[in-house]
Amino acid sequence: MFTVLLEKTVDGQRYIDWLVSGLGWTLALAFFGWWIAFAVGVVVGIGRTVQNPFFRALARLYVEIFRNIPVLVQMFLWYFVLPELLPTTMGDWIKQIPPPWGTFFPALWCLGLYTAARIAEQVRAGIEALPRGQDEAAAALGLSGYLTYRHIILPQALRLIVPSLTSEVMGIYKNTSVALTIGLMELTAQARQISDATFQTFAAFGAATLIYLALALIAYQAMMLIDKAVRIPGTAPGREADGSDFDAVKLESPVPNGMEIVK
Amino acid sequence: MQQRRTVSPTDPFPMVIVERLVKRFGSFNALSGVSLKVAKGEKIVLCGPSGSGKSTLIRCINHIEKHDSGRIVVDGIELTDRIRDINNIRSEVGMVFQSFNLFPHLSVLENCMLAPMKVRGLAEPEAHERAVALLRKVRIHDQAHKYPTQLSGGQQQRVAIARALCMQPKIMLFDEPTSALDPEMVKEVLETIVELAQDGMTMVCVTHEMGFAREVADRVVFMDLGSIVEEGDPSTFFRAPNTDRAKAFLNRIIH
Repeated sequence: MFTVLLEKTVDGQRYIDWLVSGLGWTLALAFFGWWIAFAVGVVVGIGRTVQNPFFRALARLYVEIFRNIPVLVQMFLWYFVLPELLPTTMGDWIKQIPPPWGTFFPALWCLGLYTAARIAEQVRAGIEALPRGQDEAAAALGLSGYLTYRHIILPQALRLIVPSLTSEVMGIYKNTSVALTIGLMELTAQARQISDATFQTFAAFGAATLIYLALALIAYQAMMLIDKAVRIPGTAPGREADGSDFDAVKLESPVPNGMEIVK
Repeated sequence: MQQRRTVSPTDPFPMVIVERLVKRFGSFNALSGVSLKVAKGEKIVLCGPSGSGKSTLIRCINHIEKHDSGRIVVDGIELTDRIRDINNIRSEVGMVFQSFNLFPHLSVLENCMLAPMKVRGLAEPEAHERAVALLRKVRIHDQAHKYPTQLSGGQQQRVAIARALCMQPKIMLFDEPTSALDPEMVKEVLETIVELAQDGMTMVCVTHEMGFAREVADRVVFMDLGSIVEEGDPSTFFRAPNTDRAKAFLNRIIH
C-alpha cells in the first residue's frame, strides 16, 4: 500500500524523502516552539499569581489574547499582518527572508506564544493548588519572594502539572500542521504534495497519520517517564515509603471484608 | 526549679515589643490593641479560646499577617513595610506551624539547609554540618535523607523545629505545635520544645498543653476576643485565675 512512497519523484528523490523532510520541519517547529511556550508560559503563569496588580493584569491580558484567538488566525496575523504593521523597512526585510525561514519563524512564534498562554494557565493552577502553608513557611524562614518561587513554589507546581502538560506537548505538535496554511512544507503539507503528485491520497495521508500517531505515543511515553523521574519520593502513586501503614491497611482490608461476605 | 525570667518594667532591651497592636479581618477585630513585651530568654505560653487572636498575634510578630496599626519591634528592629526589615526580622524569628509546613519536595536535610544557604549565605558544608547537628538534637538525624511524607507527624514537627533552629533564630514562635498530632506523638514534640527552653531559647508558644505550660512557661498570657485578659506566672494562673473568663476557659479545657 505504501510502496508508492519508494517511487522516484520528478526531482530525483523518493516520495518518502519528502515525508522525512516534512517530519523534520514538524519536529523542529514543535521542539523549539515548546521551549518558547514553556519559558513564556512559566513567566506568565507566575505573573498571574504575584501580588503586584499591574503584573497580574498584564499576565491576564496575555493569556486572554493568545488563548482566545484561533491558531489559524494567529498564524495569518504573524505571517501576513505583522510585516504590514511594522515600519516599512523592517516589514520589507521580514518579507525578504528566504524560504523556508520566512514561514518557519512566524509559525514558530505563533505556536510558541499560543501554547504559552495555555501553559501559563496550567502553571497558575499548579501554583494555586499548593497549600498556603508553603508560602508562609518560606516567608517565616526569611526567603524573599524570588527565592520562594524559585525553590519552593515552582518546583512543586511544575511537578504537579506534568500530567496536564502532556496534552500541551501533544497539542503543540499537532498544531504544527496549521503552518501549512502559510506555506511551510511540514508533514501535512508534504503529504498533500505527495497526494497531488501521485493521486495516492490514501497512502500519502495514511503515512502522515501513522507518523502523527507514533509521535503522540512517543510524547506520551516521554512525559510519563518525566513524571516518574521527578516524582517526590513517598508520594502516591507508587509509594516508596517503607514502614508506612498506608500500604498495610490497603492490603489487609479486602481480606477480612471478603471473609465477612463468605460467611 | 529554674529561675523564671520575665520582663521587668525597666528592662531596656526586650526581645520583642508589641504595642497597641490592631489587626482586622474585614470588620472582625482579631486583635484590638494588644501590648506585650518578651524578655530575652523568657518563655511565654499564649492560651485562650479559638478566635481569641493568639495565633494572629504571633503571626504578626514575623509579619506573616500584616498588622493594621500599632508597633512591633523585634530585637531592636522595628517592623515596617520595608521588605528588608521584614526579611531581616523573619530570619531572626523561627516559627513552627500547627501543620508543620515542611517542603515536601525536599529531603529532611534539604529542608534544613535551604534557608541557611540562600538567606544567610552559608556554604554547603557548613549548612550541612549545622543541619545534621540540629537534626541530631531533635533526635531525627537517622531520617535525614527521607522526605517529609515518609515521616510520622511527630517526626515532621521535630524536623520543622530543627529547620527553624538552623537559622539560629533569637526567638522561636510556636503556633499550636501539637494540635495536629496524634496523641501518642504529642509527647516527643513537647519534650523537644522543653529541651529547647532549657537551653535558654526565648519563645512564645500558643498551646493548650497545660502541663507543658506549667513546666516551661515563665509567664502565661491569656487572651480572649482580641485582647490580653490576664497574665501571670503559671502556678498562680492555673490555681487561681483572676478573671471569670480565664476561669471559664480553664474549666472547659481541664474538664
